[in-house]
Amino acid sequence: MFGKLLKYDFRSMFKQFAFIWPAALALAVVNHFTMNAMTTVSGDGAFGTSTVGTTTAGIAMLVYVAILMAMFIVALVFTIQRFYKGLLGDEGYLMHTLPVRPWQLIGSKLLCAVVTTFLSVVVAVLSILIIFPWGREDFQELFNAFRYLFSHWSSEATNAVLGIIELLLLMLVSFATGFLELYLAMSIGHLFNKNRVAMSVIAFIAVNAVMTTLLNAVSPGLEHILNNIVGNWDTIASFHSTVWIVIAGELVLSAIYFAGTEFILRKKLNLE
Amino acid sequence: MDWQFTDDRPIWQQLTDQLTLRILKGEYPPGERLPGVRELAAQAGVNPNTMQRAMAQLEADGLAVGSRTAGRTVTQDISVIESAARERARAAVSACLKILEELGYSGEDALVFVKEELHHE
Amino acid sequence: MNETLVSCTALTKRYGNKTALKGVNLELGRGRIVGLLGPNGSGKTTLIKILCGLLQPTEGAVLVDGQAVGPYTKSIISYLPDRMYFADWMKATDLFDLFADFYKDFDRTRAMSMCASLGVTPSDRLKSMSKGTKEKVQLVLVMARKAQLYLLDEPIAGVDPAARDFILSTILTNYNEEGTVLISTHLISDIEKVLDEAVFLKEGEITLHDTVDNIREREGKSVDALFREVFRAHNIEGGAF
Repeated sequence: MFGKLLKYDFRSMFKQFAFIWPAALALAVVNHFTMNAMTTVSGDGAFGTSTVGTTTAGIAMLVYVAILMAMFIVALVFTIQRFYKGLLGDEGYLMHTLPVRPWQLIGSKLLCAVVTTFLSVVVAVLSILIIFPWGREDFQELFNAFRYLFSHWSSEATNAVLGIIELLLLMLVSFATGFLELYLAMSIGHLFNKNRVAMSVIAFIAVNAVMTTLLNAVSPGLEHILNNIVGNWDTIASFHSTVWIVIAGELVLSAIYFAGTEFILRKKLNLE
Repeated sequence: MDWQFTDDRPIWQQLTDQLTLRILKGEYPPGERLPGVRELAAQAGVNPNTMQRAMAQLEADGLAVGSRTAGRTVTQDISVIESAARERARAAVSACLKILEELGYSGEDALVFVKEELHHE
Repeated sequence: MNETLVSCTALTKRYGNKTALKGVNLELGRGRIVGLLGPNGSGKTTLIKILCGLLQPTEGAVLVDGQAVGPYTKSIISYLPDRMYFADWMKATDLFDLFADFYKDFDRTRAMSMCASLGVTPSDRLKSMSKGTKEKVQLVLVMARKAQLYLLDEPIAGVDPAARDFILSTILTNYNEEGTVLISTHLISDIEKVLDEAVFLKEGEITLHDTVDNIREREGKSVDALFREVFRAHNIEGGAF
């Protein structure tokens, strides 16, 4: 049943992003050429000596940046809407009477939202790579510098590949925590009979305040423990372990938010 | 013919009455297969259970034979139909007499009315 | 299989200090059409929402086919809410896919033939459909299932008489004969002849639960007439009019 829920959530996601992802990539291709054209005209390695080229490139870049921003805004709005409309609005009448459990409903929305955001990040990174005027000498040098840095860093002791995987994982987990905090806030907002949207916003601020206070309260102790673990290792090892500790912390927060949301949907659901 | 219901009696009884009338009038001739309960219920816009009850009454009256699963037919026993028709006629006459009685007419007066009415036609 | 399909024991639902249901006890058998009758605000929707798992009771217990409300009971209940519940980007056929995926008892062929007889084009986008057509799609979804319990919340409110007859005949010709249909409404005259049983709900309490035949035989009047009497008295008592 969970797989079937995912199928429908992903289908609605692809409907939403079927335009914006290809559009971002297409604009990146356009920018690649306008930028190259601009620099070809100038010829001396400096930017923007041709007015026409510069203007075109400027506009293309502006549109590109706008669509990237729009993409992330849409991703956030999509995440909020899929949960609010899908589970707490009229569509909830359908979703909550399907023969599934509330945790499956939340899990499916969450997984879909994390994947959506992650894919948007991938599209953004890809588009930057596309725009990059690889042919130019100075960029080539920059690229070589990166390659050097990476190969140096990824010696056995430092393990850059692992580091990158860890950071990616951290990114995914932070997305999940952020989204679950939004879910919990919306679920709390829905407990009120009136002004549910406003109450959701207030709930979000309140959850944030409570969590910050809580973190501040436990952080001296946490710091002490962290110092004991991390402090005794060399810097590289401490980088890896710090990332893992942060991931664990985010997971704990996620679990709390998830449990809270699940409890409200299971016990306190009251659709309008 | 349309199905009509009044408010004062259970619907299944009214269904039985109307089905009986259809048989007596020959709309469903002797030996003919009756429509299924579901179909009749849909026609009359009533609950199938109610129609089932009406059909069961037809069976009890001897007007319909067969079973729910195999389907029902109108009885081929003409005497049953005839006696049911006579019963229906007597009921109509007695209802008529009751009204006349309330108006203060006697049985003799009633006969006169009937003769006059027949003469008119 | 339990002989009793639905069993509510001392069911109470409070919203804050407002009580929507007060200690409701209700047993429903199989294979019948039951009217849940009461004026607006008498607790009909609350009771139905509890049965299909959209609300949790404050007190009391609900069993459907002997089980507490959960994925199993949801799999045997076909629910028609009093509102539209689908995402606009979908087509009716998308919804059929969804129902076929989640409900084993959904009959796609029947859904398509119901659409044909209702004049609905299932490949149209829901966004482009009129309100009446969307309601028909929702009715098709609900009635194309071979469910054990159909919960229909105000299916004939706010539609014209032709549509009303149409909805009732769709329900009559399509429901699963071993299943029970619970129809909530305040428009009794239209629905009385399709009912086996009537349940009167008054201010969150069941005041009457009997077969329509018994009520007519005992009272010498229609359920509709009885309803009007019972609830007119209620209005005077309550001082609403």
